[in-house]
Order: sequence, then C-alpha cells, then structure tokens
Amino acid sequence: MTKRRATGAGKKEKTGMTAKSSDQKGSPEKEMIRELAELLNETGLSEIEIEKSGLRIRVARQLTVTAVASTAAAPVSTAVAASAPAAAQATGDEIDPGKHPGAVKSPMVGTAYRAPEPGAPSFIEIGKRVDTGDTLLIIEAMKTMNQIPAPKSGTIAAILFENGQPVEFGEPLVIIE
Amino acid sequence: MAGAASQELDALWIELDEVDSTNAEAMRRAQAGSPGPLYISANRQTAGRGRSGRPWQSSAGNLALSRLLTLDCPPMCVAQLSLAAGVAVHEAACSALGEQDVAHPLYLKWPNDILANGAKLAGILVEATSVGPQRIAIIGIGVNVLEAPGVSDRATVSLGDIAPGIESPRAFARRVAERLEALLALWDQGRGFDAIRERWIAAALPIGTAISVNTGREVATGTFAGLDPSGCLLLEDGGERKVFTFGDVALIPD
Repeated sequence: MTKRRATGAGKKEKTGMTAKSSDQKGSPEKEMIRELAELLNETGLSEIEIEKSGLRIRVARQLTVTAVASTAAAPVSTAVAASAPAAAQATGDEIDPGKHPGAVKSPMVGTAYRAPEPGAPSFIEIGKRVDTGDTLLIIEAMKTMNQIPAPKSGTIAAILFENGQPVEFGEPLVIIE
Repeated sequence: MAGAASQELDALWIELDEVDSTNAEAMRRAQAGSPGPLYISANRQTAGRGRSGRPWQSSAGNLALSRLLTLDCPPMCVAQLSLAAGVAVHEAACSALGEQDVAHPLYLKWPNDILANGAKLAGILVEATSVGPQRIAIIGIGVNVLEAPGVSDRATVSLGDIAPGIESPRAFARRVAERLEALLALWDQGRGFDAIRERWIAAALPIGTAISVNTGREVATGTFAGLDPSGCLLLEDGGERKVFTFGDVALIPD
C-alpha cells in the first residue's frame, strides 16, 4: 500500500578512503581503515584522520541528499547530512533505513502523525536530541492514537514518514543515532 | 448492578466537577504513577478533545468519562479497544432507552461512532502511551445525554432528544462503566476479541449498507461487509473486498 519515503534523509553517500604509507603491502592498514570506517559510522563524523609512525590514514565520506520529498514542509536541516550513517563498503548504493541499528519501526498499520494535533509543534525534528520514552510520533488506527516512544536516547538522524500518511507494520519511521 | 460490583467501581472512580479533559486528567494521573484501573468523570470539560485535535464540546448535560488501563497485549491489538468501547456505549445507550419506542435504532459506524438517524450521539477516542516501560491506554468517551452540541459540519443528537426523561449523565456514566468493565474482561488483552467483534457487527449498521471510506488519500465506495478478524473495516466493491485500518466512513444516501 505504501512506499518507503524519506523526509529529508540523506540516502546516498560515498565513502572515500586514502592511505599514504611507505609500505602498503601488508593488511594491517586495511584493518585500520575498516576500523576507522566503522568508527565513522558509530560517531556520525564525516572525516577521521590519524597519523602513526610514518603512516597517515584519512577516512572521509561525502553525503549527498537525494531524497527530499516532504509535503509537511519539514525543514531540511544540514544536520541530516552530518549525522547520516556512513556506508563502509557500499559506494553510491541506496541504504536500506530498515537495516539501520537506530531505526524505529512501526509496530502497527495506521496513519502517522508528527504532532499531537494539527497546527501543534512536531514531537521531533531532525538533529534534536530525544531521551528514552519520549514520544516520537503518533500512529492512528481505528481512532486509537498510539504514541510511539523512543526506544533509546540519541539524536534524530532521519524522519522517514510523511505527516498524515499511511505506514505499514515494520516500516522504518525514524532513525535515532 | 450488584452491590459488590458497584462498590468495586466506586473504588476506581474519581468524579470531578470541571476538568480540561478527562483523558488529559487520566494521562496526568498515569504519568504520576497511577497504574489504573481508574475512571475519571467530569460534569464539564473545558478542553474536551476529539480525533485530530477536534474540540469535543461537553457541557453539564453530557457524559465525559475516561478509563485508564494498563496494556499487556501486542501493539496491534490496542485499536480493538476502540471497537470494544463502541460496543459498551451502544449497549449502555440501548439499555438506557429501554422499552421506549425509538423511531430510529442506534447503530455503530466503524470504528466507534454511535448514530441515530445519521446523527452523532457519542464519540470515543482511545489514546495509548508509555509510562516508563509500561504501555497504558486511556479510553475517552463522550456521550450527548441530555443535550447535543451544535456542530457546524455534522448532525448531532442526544439521548434526551430520542427519549425525553432519560436518566442523568451521572447515572448513565455508571451504566457505561458497567458495560465497559464486562467488555474489557471479555477482551482479555486481545485474547477475547472474536466475541467483541461479533457483538460489534451485531450492533452495526446492516451488512450491505452503501458507504464511502475516505482515507485522506482516496475515497472508496461500496457496501459495508463487516469486520476482518483483527477489527478492520471490510468494504465490498463489485465483488472485490477491501480492508481498511483507518478512514472516515460516511453513509451514502439512497
């Protein structure tokens, strides 16, 4: 019934890795690059550079916001690009937000709302912090308004639903990092 | 109702003269640590709420009642409370009217509107949230008992319009609560929903009634075909069955 939509989410990104060393034959560098790429993911940083005994490694990523489809006039914050996850191995591939460890998935079928009522401020905005238990959104099903709580504390990295639109069971709604 | 059961209800009941909204008050008490079960009733609401933030007008002639309960069911079962509450109010209203000669029978329109001759008699809004790790629900019930507020975009009716000499909102609140308790016990956190579903269908507008369903995205038309096992609306359109989890249902005039 519904397609996955992204509201101001950074969907496509490129990971660039450069290593300069006098000796690039061995695999420890590869290991280190991989670790740094993972660290990039965890921290949400766009670039990490380290220098160690003549070896300098810089791991960086470029983020391109490709999907900005919002009828709710959600502001596309620069925080989107800064906090979107890095794809360590994929280059230019679409990321499945459902596989993101911080994805909050819909526990039911219904209509998703960003605010408690029309005209009221939204529960969350991209780049804002939430604590465990804070209401992220409301899903309405059969005139039952279900407040969906944040399962963990963190920063809202992406809002993947449109206000007032249907959501399916298991559909990723919000990404918290 | 038997004396013992009535006393049990008394123990759960907080009656207020005036409050912003009985649902909001129940929510505050839940957040403050009341685990429920709990009833909040009020003679007047100053900021009664309906769906999507629509105001719900309730003066002293109306019933404003909220029931707080803790949830121990899968998230998708919570919406069944909406149907169970609809059945409770329908049964309470029918029993309050009793043997009186009623020109237009009361019926349920999905999910829980109660209509008499197409006019709205009651509104129900269920809200579910978390208090710490515990999920809770608040069933909010508004019934036009002695008077119906004038609402610009739809026809309204009160029990008093249907049957002059109807009981007080206070007495009717107890009647609703007695029915609701029985239905919540039957519901059993979703395990007993089949029985509720059957009672809902029995109280609903007749199968085959021409209706439209507006989902905000599209307007589907067809005939009412009952509920699916989870309580979703079934619409039949030229031999095809469509299932709706949300949407505004309207009757198509003959």
